[in-house]
Amino acid sequence: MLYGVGASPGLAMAAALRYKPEKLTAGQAAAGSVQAEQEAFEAAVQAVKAESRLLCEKARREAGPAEMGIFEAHIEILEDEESILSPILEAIEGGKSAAQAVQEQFDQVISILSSLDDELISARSSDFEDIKQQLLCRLLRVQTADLSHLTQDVIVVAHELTPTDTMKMDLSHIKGFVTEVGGTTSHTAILARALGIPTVVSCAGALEQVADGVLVLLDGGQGTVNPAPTQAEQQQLRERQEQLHAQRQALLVFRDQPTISADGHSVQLLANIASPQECGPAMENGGEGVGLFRSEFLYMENSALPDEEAQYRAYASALRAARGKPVTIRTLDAGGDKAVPSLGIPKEENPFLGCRAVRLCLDRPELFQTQLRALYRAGTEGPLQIMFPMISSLDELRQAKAAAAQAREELDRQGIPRGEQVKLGMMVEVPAAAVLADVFAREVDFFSIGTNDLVQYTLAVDRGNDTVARLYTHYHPAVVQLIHRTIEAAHRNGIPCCMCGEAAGDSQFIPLLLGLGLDSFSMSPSRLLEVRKRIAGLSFQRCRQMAAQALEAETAEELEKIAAAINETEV
Amino acid sequence: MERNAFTIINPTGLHARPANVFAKLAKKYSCSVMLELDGKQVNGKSIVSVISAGIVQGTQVELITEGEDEHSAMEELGAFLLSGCGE
Repeated sequence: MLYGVGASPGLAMAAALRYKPEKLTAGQAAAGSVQAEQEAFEAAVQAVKAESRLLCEKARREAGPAEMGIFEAHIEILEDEESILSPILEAIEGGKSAAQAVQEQFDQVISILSSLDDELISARSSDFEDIKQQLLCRLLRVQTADLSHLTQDVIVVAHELTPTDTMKMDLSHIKGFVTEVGGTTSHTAILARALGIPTVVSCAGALEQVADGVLVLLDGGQGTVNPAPTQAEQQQLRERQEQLHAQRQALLVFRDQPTISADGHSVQLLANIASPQECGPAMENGGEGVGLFRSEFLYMENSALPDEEAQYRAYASALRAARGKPVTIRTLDAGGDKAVPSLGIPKEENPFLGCRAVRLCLDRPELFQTQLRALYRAGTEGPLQIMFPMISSLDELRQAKAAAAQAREELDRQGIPRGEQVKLGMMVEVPAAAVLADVFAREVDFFSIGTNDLVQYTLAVDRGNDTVARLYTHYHPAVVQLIHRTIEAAHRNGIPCCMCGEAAGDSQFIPLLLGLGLDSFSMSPSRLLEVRKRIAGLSFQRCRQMAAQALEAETAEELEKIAAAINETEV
Repeated sequence: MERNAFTIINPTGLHARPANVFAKLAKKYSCSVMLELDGKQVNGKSIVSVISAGIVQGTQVELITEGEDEHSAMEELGAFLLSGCGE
């Protein structure tokens, strides 16, 4: 069994396809006639341009505007007379083979770019490497693994996958991805989740251990790959797949329905997403909107920081995909456990209690303004809500709001259109915010409770630390009382309260949250329909009574028992 | 010949995307389009030359158009630079 990180949930069973693209070099082969080499070069350029146009179109349909931009720039580069076409043709006239001329000219550009100070510009050298490889592939007539035309279902196994790699593939036949490196926010993982393709990343040694053509089993939820399944294991997987399929079919009836309890109490079910590509599918899975759009993916993608335009396109894309449903985007929540190399954050002794999230943004006004401007500009595409993470004091909140006001004012001065009705809210995850919820509720348009961090901070437990992880539980009375306090304060001040931590998707916890009066539940898109069905079978009044009882509990065990009891009485 | 000075205002300068748009716009015109900075001239119709020049925020460049449609070129390209390259 191979172990990695589950990056896109689901089960898959198919023949393995090992993908190992070679890095090509021109070699020393003597050149043919000048005319022949020039013609070969021009033919290669046309071929790569034609393919880039196809990929651009494919990206437009299946991925997003950022991916399209990559291929548009490739085409422009291949039409650059001065720096690409003329020098190469001249070098061929001077006796070089087309492949040698291409390699030398591109390497020259790559070396100039790599030496530039500006990270964003120097990062573009990877585009030139990509184009160079494509040209060499045609000039050297090397057959690279062609994943664009597959005749059978496969699970692709590779060291890593670049945007070009992924975009070129025949996605209809790809049942799963396994990469040796990469994380859950890598380009491949995001695309895989958007397309619903089970994926395991960070699976060291996969290429060595998996043989071409052999049937493998992949569990994208667990992050495991079985390179040599027995007949029994194969049968088991088939049965689980059928079960899941039947369950999914049964839930489809809940897709376009509102979320209402058996006795008529309505709440809102929203999705947690980490990329624009996940938005459409999440809405199709029954989401009434997005309760948490984690903006960190933009910062984790490259070695350089995302500029305002790249951010604007991502946020606008998500809002458009939501087709009029509300989208709540959280400002950068990096630092701490969420390492983002391009931010250059110095190592901290205690990252959870350090300069991260909104504190980092307030410390770096330009960084914050870039994101806020991109957000407000995107606000013309749909109902946008912005929320600030890790707010621990009124001062912090007011500073963040002032930064938002500054972004609005500057955009107005520049005559750049922006969203007019953008709501501003905050995450309630630092205990101080829950304790003073009444004070905060007067200065925001909504609350969103982040239970993951709220539990850690309140109980002083690091859930990633094996020696104490068992102490982490959202059933702890202190946590539930803080949740209660937050919801009450929100309602007293006329604002809605959402929850976007994992607890909001916990079936056993939901009746309690319902009974405490939570207005919106935001969770992983895969849970939405099941939760809607669950709530339809609950009595809000009974949940309220149970919640009152639960608030009297003194231990987590006691509280969980009370919460669980309702499950047995309801159908 | 027309010549005007511009300060690059968008935070990320003339990196890939704006360079792409700039070069495409420049190629619409028959006149020559050059960007001058630090005493060197760069061909505005060459995306690679523009990117390689490393033009970042705050850089002062001179836009030089020369040829039949130099005036329209200056207008459109100048507006593009003034607007922060559409960012």
